[in-house]
Amino acid sequence: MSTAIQKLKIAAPFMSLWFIGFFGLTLVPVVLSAYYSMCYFDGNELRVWIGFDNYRDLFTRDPIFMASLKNTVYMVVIGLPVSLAFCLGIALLLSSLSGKSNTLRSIIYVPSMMPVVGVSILWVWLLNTRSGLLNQMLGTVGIGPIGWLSDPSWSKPALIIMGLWGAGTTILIYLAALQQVPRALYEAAQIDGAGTIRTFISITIPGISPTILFTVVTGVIGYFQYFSQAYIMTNGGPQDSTMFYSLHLFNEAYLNWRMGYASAMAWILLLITLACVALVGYSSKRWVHYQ
Amino acid sequence: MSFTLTKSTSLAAAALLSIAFAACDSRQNAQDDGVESISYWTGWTGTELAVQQKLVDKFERTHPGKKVHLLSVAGAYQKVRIAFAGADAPDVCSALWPEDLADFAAHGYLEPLDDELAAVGRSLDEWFPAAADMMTVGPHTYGISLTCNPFFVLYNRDLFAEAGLGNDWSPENIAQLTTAANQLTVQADDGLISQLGIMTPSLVEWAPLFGGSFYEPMQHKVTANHAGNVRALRWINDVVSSAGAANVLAFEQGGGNMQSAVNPFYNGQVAMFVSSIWEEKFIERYAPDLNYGYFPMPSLNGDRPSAAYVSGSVFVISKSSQNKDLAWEFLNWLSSPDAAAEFCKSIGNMPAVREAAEDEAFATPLFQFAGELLKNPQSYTAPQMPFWTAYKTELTRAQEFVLHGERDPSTVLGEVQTRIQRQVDELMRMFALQGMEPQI
Repeated sequence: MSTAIQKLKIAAPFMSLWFIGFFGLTLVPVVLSAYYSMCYFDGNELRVWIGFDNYRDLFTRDPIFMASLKNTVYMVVIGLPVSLAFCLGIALLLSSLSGKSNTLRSIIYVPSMMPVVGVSILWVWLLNTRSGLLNQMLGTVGIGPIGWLSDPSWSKPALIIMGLWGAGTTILIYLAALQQVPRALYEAAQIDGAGTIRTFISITIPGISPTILFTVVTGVIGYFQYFSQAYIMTNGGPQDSTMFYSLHLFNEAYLNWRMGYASAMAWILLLITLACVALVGYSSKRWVHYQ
Repeated sequence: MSFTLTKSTSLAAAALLSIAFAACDSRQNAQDDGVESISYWTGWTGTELAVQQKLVDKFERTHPGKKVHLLSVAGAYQKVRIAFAGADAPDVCSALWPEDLADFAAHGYLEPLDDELAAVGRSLDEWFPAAADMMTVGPHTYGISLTCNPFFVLYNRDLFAEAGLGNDWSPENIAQLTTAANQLTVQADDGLISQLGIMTPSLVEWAPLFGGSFYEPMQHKVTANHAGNVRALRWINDVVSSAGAANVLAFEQGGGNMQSAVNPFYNGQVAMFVSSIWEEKFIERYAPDLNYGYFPMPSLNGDRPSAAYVSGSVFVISKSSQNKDLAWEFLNWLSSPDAAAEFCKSIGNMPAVREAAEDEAFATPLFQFAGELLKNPQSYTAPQMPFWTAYKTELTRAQEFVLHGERDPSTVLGEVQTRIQRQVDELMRMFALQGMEPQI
């Protein structure tokens, strides 16, 4: 018996746990969900092969599917850039306070450690139309009251604003990236007479572009899976304005027992997410600079 | 140093893993140390949960060698659905709404209880008619009801007196109720509401009082756009729009748990509020000085006096239960008149079992009033049908779209009709294709 086989025999039991986990809990469910997406499946005994009917029905007979897709795309296209710009802005601020910002960093990071359920319920109160803190503050300058969670035109912006509050992790990632940009480049730019904006565009942004790519990719994936806050705070309302893709998928699976239909939704979500990430990856050749 | 995996080591590792996985079983229904046990999930929490625990303790005391693992899943009814779908449901469960019974039964998640009831000599006649409706789907009994609560309108006597309506008021029809609601709403010049006449009515609760209905079970026919439902939705829109829908929705938005100190009816900010008998306990706790009265929900033309929408609790045994005998023994004991009365009087609910309702604790004027509503043959429950949860969600959406002025009631209910009927038809077709008989 060769040494390699002997080594494999020893290693196999140690690797087996991972293999069991990967095959049993990841690969098999993925393959099964592809099969179920072609079935009428209620999660129990009722399972009938119907081909691509679930996929056809999604696009032709389900108005909530299209609404949920639009809402989710809104969050990716509007919510993500707003969130990233905010995080970068705060990180720049903290970076400029070098050495004096430890307490501030901790304060900014604390909300991101709080559980999403508690935070969501807290924000339901903060965003209350009549007695919410946000409307009371706006009221002092003569604005509002705004129906943050009762007016369809304000519900998604309200969720985006709430997201900013808990963006401490991304802020810290940007802060770390900013500190990695070589000081020599800033000094060279200063000697060449570059202003703040020119330095930001030509030195800072290219310098942290790999980090921006990382946050964009993880952000795109995260926003396409946006679920908990909408489930807890609005349950898709008002008027479907916060009915996001994952929430609709969840409702189909566990409210309507349509596991096959939900599986089809999951595969479409995977394809859309893959396409978007591929697009970001492809475009990154133009704007991401590795040192 | 070398390490060789022997057969015995491998077996030991496999056994260890098996034990670890077995320990993950959430149902805890194994026979431990000779003690027979079942799991029981409830949707109650707080005081109600404490009372349930007392009853469970009493059952264990009076049934030596038998144990009930009680778990509250309050506010997490999705967990229940996921557990049933994953065949990891508890043996006994009361954390589902009565109107969900058909949905669960249709998909084969519930154990029919007809034989068990017959075996102990019990019949549905022991329960109020509305409770019996909540327990049955088609020809089968799938649930056992403990509480059965008719809905009615609670009103703030002081606000009514201030508005010149007297403090002992009861409308004969919808028109009178609407007039009072408008009269009792107080708004600032900018539309901001400081006092609301009536909380936005729910289509599901009110439609039958307008002659509406949602489902014809014999034909499996969805009737969302029934003329009565359309009339009811138009009325809801009229009531809300008179104060400006945006103002009303802003007033009602996000107050938290209605059974808490923030309920605007308890605070005197709402004059009328549709709810049920449990409010007596909550008002006692959170607003003891509130001067309130109650009257039956009126019908459109006053032709259904003292009819009420009825809801309550149902207890079911899951198909995946490993110990159905003990599960039934527990349910049978829990729904006995003594245990049911003890539970209901502790939490201020109306017992579903008639004999339990004869307990002197239920001789108060409010319980007598509720008993009259329950005895009325025109009182009604939500329909027992598959997809009711989806249907109800769609009806709520439809109401939202109408209140925001986006859609006409007839059109939007027609859309709901089409979508839900398609789902019901599809389910029936799939049962036929698979050669299965739907248990509904």
